[in-house]
Amino acid sequence: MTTPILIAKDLRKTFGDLEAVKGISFSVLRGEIFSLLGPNGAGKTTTINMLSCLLPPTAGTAEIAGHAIPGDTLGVRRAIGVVPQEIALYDALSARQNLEFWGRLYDMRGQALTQRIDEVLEQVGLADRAKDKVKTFSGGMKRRINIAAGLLHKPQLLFMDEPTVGIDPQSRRRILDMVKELRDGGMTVLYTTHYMEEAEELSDRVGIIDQGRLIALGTQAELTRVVGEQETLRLYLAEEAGAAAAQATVAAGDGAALPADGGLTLFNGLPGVLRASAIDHQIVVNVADAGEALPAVVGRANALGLHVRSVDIEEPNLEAVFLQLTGRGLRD
Amino acid sequence: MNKILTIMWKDVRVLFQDWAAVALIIAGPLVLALGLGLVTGAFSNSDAPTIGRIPVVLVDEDGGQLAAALVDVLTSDDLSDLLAVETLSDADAARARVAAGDASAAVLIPTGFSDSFTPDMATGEMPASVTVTVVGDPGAPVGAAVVRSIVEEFAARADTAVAGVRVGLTQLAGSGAVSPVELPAVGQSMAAAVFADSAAASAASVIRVETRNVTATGESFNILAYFAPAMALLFLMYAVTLGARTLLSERREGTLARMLAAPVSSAQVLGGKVGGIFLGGFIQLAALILLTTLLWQLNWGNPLSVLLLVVAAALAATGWGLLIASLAANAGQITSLGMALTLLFGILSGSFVPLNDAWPVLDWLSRITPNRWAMDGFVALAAGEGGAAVLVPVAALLVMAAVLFAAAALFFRRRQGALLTA
Repeated sequence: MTTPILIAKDLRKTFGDLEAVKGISFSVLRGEIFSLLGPNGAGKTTTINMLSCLLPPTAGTAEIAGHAIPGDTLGVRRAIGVVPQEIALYDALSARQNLEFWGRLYDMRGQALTQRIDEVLEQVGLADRAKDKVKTFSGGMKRRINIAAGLLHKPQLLFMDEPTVGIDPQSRRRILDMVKELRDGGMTVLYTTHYMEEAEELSDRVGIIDQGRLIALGTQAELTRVVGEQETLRLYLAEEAGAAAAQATVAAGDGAALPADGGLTLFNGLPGVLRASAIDHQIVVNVADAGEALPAVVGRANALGLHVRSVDIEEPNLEAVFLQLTGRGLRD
Repeated sequence: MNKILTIMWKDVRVLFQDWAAVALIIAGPLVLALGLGLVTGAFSNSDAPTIGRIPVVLVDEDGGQLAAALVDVLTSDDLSDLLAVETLSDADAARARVAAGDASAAVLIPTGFSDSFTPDMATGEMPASVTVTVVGDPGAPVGAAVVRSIVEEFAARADTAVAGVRVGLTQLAGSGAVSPVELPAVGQSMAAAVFADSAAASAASVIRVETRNVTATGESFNILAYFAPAMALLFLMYAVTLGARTLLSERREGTLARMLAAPVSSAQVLGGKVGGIFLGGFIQLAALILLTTLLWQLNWGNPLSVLLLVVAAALAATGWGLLIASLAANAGQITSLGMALTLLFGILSGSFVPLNDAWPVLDWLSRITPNRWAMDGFVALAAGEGGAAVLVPVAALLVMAAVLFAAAALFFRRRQGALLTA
């Protein structure tokens, strides 16, 4: 797992005045799962689209399995498989008919195609639904066929763009297990997600991407070293955290304590507190020592009128790394 | 090529797996044609649907030999089973009879009609042409069409006869057999000889109207031969709209990007999509022809000519579908524009109420519709005309397709980045 199959150098993409990707460089090693972790709009899909030759880079180059971008579009497309974020299937056709169509586009024919379709249907656990139309499938089943279509031609490198968005926990579990099985079978996977837990569970290495820039890259151990021995307190609120914190800030007469980047200053000054942010119904507080900081943080929250339902104490993780690097939570 | 065919076949599969769409584009035309057939009396008795004697009013303001020949043709025994001709003296009265629905058509022969085919005595020049008018009843489209085709056939043969006179005069002058001074008189004599004797004899020898497919062989013109292609063509436009819609819906749903991430060129993807639209339209039209042949024993005419027409009509309709897709911002707009165009083309081409001569502007406008040209061809074939009858319609449809494809390509090129990228 030391030879790079993908090398991206200073990839940039602009759409009019918007610079969506601002010079990204990284490599993906053969046989690894490499995750691009970042919030929505960070530039993950644009990066994947450039690497799969759907969008020409405004600047920069890449090389996939020896094929250059820009330049050898056909060679790149033969080497890669793409599992797009959308469920890119034909609802009116059956699972098998869909796979036949996508297989033919990769020059697969006859018995070889039929056999391969049987294999991937088995792999995604939908062999018994092969003849059913895709429109009769649940969201999770559609996601699995969406993945199967990307696997048909046994690509050297598989791009999976947020493949678990909008599905139930069981289906997500199944897909994550499938991705690990693919890696164990020798396939290289470039996986994008904004779920920290997925990146942590799957990845051999992670690139953290934010606002079009790659702000950190390494193994999970290497990345969490960024935050040292920091721990995370996760306060689950009854109300939406951002709105509640804003209200509490105004009530406290501390209008200046609402930074534009989404970080919270409500807990500043408390012993051991490094930074805090609001995500959905949670307030995430980075602390040097959870045991020391917990009583003060919960006390401050209560004093501000926030309705804390429960608190988790977490070891250093990628969420904390992102918070440390950007001052914001992954799902801000 | 394999990938283009793969994409084409996939599109056809998707279209025909949608039972609601199939019901609309296959069953819809059948039901509508049947309904219109019932309304117009095609099934008024248990016999095969036929047209009875067509009531025609005839006004001869000319009184010349050629007019007499035309009158004789229309009132001949050969056509007596088909036409019930009543002679009037006033053109306005004849028009009023048609407007009132008492006659399916009025044939108006204006003053100077016969003379317009005879060279001037003094100069030898041909006078300005004088046109016979056929006024049709929109409520009796088939009857009016039959009368019009008889008169057109007559006029065509008269033109041929006059051309023969002119060629004869030229040869006589060239050989010196006749002096230039004598030419006008000789010309008049020749014209008189052509149109002289009894008008019936002239009509029989020079201006004979072929009626074998109408009555001579005992066959009858089935009104469904008009409404079946009219409805099929109406829904052909809708079918290509459904196909064109997929150009933008595939982009929205991500399947277009997925195709382009495979080892397939943009040209192959577009080729496959366009081919899919065409093939969907072709299959729809062909299926309707097959079904109406089996269900109603319709005789569509020479199979090869019918095939040519179907291909040309499907290509022209595909051109319209592509043009709409190239201009629309989203799939919803394609549906709306396609539906509007389907109805507009149906009205312009007389799919619901044939317009005939009553609406000359609309008749002219109808030439931009594939429906009109294809209908001309289908009706001619159903009336027993040979393959030559479809040459002009097929040529017009192919030109239309070429122009529309070029225009669509131009618009697509302007927005290709947006269309073919994620």
